[in-house]
Amino acid sequence: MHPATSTSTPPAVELESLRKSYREGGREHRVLDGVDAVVRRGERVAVLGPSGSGKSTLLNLVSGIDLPDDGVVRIGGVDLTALSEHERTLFRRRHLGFVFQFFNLLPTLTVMENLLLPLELKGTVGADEEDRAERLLEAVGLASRAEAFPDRLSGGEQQRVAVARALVHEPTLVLADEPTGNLDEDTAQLVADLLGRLVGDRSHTLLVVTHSRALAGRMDRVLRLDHGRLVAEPR
Amino acid sequence: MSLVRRAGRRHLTRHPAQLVLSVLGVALGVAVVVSIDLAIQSSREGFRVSAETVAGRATHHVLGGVGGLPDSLFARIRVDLGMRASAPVVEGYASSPLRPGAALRVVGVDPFSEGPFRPFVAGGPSGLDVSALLTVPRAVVLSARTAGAAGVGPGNALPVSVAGRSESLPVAGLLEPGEGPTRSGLDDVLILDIAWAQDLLAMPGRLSRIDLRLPEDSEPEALEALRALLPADARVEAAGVRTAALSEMISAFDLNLRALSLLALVFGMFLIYNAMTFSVVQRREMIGSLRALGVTRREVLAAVLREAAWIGGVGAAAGLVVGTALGRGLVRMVTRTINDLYFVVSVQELTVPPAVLAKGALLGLGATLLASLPPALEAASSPPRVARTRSLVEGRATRAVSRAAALGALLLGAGCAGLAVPSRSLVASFGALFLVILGMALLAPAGAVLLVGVLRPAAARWMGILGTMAARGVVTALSRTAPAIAALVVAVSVTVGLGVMIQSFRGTLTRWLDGTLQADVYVSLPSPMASRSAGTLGPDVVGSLTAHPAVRGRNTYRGVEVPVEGGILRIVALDLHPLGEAAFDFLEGGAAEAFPAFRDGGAVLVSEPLAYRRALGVGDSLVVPTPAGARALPVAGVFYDYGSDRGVVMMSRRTYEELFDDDGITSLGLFLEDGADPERVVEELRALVPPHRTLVVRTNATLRSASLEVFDQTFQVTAVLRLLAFAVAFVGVLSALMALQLERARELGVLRANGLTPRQVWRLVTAQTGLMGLISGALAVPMGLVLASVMIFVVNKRSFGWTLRMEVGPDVVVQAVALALVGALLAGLYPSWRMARTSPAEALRGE
Repeated sequence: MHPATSTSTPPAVELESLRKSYREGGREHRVLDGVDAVVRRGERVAVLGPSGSGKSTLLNLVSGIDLPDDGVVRIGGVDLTALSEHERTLFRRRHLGFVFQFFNLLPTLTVMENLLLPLELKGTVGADEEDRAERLLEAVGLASRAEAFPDRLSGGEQQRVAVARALVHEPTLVLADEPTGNLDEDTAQLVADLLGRLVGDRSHTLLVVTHSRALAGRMDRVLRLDHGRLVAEPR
Repeated sequence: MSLVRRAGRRHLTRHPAQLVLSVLGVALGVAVVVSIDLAIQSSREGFRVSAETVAGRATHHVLGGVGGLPDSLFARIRVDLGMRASAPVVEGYASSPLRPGAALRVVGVDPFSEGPFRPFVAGGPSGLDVSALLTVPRAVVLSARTAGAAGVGPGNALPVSVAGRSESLPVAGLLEPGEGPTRSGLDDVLILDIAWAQDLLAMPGRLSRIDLRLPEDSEPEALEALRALLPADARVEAAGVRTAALSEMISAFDLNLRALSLLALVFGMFLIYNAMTFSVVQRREMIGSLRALGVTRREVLAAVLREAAWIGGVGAAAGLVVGTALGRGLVRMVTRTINDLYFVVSVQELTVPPAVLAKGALLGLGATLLASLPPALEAASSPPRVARTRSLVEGRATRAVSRAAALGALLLGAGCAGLAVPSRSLVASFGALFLVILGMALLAPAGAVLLVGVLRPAAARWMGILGTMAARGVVTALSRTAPAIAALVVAVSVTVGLGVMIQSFRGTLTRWLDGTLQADVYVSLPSPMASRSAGTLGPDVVGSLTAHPAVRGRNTYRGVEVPVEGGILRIVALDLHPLGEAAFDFLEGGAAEAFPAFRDGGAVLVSEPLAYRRALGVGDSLVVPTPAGARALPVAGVFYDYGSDRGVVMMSRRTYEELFDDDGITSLGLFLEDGADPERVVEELRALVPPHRTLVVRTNATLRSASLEVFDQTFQVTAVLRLLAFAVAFVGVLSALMALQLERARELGVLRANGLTPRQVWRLVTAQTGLMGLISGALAVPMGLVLASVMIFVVNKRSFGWTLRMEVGPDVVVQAVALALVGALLAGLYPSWRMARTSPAEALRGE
């Protein structure tokens, strides 16, 4: 067991006093200024905030892509700030699922191959996993496009594949960065439904950063980034 | 195959032009290195095998000075010293119209002494009919392969020319040794009985050497007894020493060719570096996504290097095939140069040692991996961010340009400092030269940024907004344009450097010939080796030619080679007409002081390469072995000479005859009366030559052009290498810029969607590639001149000991800019054509 892991069942996400600044033209710009939050297992939480409020920075810290200047990030009890870059990468491949604003499917892999990628990285590609990938593809309504390359798919279709990819390896936590930000209203609703349903069905924890109140409204809880801190948004 | 690997492989196959050009870059680089290696190895191997075959199983050789050894010495060694395992040998060279261009090695042996040395000519089991060799005048045996090449067989006669005399040698038998060294060692070797060989080579009563087999247990005593018996200018050497010393003569030539061939590989590396950098830049987003999904840095690094290894492997395999084919052509050029300048070697087939192929493959693979390492590390260091802005990437690239320039300046400084260190090490020189090249490559992008600033207003005036966009595109996309420009500049500057070096060499040689060739007509013996001839003209011929009424004076030359410790010393004895003294251009010592000491004081003049090699100057002494023992002769002057990189020592005829008791004349320079027509006199002189003799009688102008022809032949290999470097550079230009433009498909799609016509797209693409070509060409010229200076003043001096004057002709400069520009414009054609055919929607949709 990793030294940073506790023995009781820990929350999915624990953020303690997170601080993060960037230097801009010689001046320091503080993006996050003491973020505290706890997300319980199976909970679906949205983080609202306008552009430039630090939503993506927060997601980068939660995913271990970036490190805070100060504070602690625990995912399932594991302190990411205590891990090396290599360990955080391995943690990410095993425990996190990602949905990006710009889909970020690998253009040189087919739809099915994109889905199998997280399983392969996790080292668990077998008949069961392939079945699971096929079922997920059916669930997002794209079973017939399994052999297509992403550039042949519409934006909505690509994002549906991305949702399936984020869930296929049964991650502890699914992170979504403006998952509907690049889609039209109808498609955005479709993807939001899909994301909510599939995450809910599997009892995954979901953390979505968005500026879409419609998407945020589908989550169990909504937080808002306000001057570098997370505050609860009244519903 | 893992999905990460599959994604990478598909990326490569989706960019076939980029892939093919990368493979081609490695293939050409490997091909050049392998072909040069094979050509040199084959020449060396040919020489070694031939020398060993002819030397047979001898453990030692007794060698004579000028004119060889007296016949009687052999009898004394055999009888007085009781060394039964001894064999006399006479050697010389001939040419035959049936083997054009080949120098035939004439070896005279005593078949009855040959048993312990060369069983294949000793009769008995070999099946050779020794009696025919002894009884038929000038009967010759030769290998079946040589006979086949000349189209003769037993019963036929082989026409040959020896020192200008035409002879016909009846073929008494064919040697058919089994496979192995002996077989190729007998290529172009003619074996005669020793008495007939002495007659043929005009060496009555003389031997070239005596081969010995000394028993190991009594070797020191035997050597002591031998030395007591030998004439003063004779020496006894262990077998292999001479071969090694001769082989060492070509080491500088060999190293220069190898270094040049490595340049082609360096170009190939730039190509790979460029292609892989591009491939990584193209996949920035994809790598970011993979990193976000949990692919580690190590896995990204491994993926990129695996792709590079695949390209390197395929390229190296293709390079080995092309290199072996190319080697067959190059070996002829290399052996001709070695024959002309150093020693006789016959190579009828390319030796392809597996080690050379393995080395070439490893070099290709290693170079590819090394060149791919920086982009692979760059890819691996990509943070797993998925929304990295383009400006962030370009901001990093801009900072990298400044850092690269600083590092480049540092490497350039280190390279220059390395070159400035007084050293004779060629390896150190080439090491420093490569540092200079690398330094300049790193400085190139910064130079390009500066030049774009200068050229942008002109581009804007000429093409309006498209011109501005084309110019700005070079600096705003530095992550992609900088490696392309660096690769281009290095490739073009090296071709400029080589071009200027060859041009300067030729110019220096031409001026030297103009000064050296003072006589109006030259008479010499024909020889299969350009720079030397064996035999003498004979007093009768000299007398009748110089008695021609149009001849008012003459120079006589006698060229001989004497074995000295660690090599051969070439001596030329001169009897100079006062007009002939003007031929000397002194580097050290003036004509006024040097010539009186030369004529009357027993002093010698040494050529620059000899002075360089032996660290000689005016006032020093040169030790020369003579029949009366070693003599230290004062050096009165050091003169410029480009005839041989081994160097030559000139002594007056009087000094030479006193020392060597030899009155032979190898060649003549004749001064004609004012108003005499040299062409007509040449015709008349030819008519004076006895019918059985062939002499080369030619005018000053003909000799001059023949000398330049030898030069051009010598530099043919370099020219071929330059051409290949040019080809690699061209492929580099093409691949770098084509990839750059293809990567802009989406951006161009946006422009098309905004109303740019296909023609305007073509203009924009062409303007940008043209601008990059122009900038690279402009940067390559000064950098090429720096490289040329290094090659001329440092590498050449340390390799061959020559002082050259740098000459820069406009054609080399024009060629460089044209190479870059034409390559760049051609590189723009395909992307423009493709973009013009692609609908904007497709371009926006696709990658």
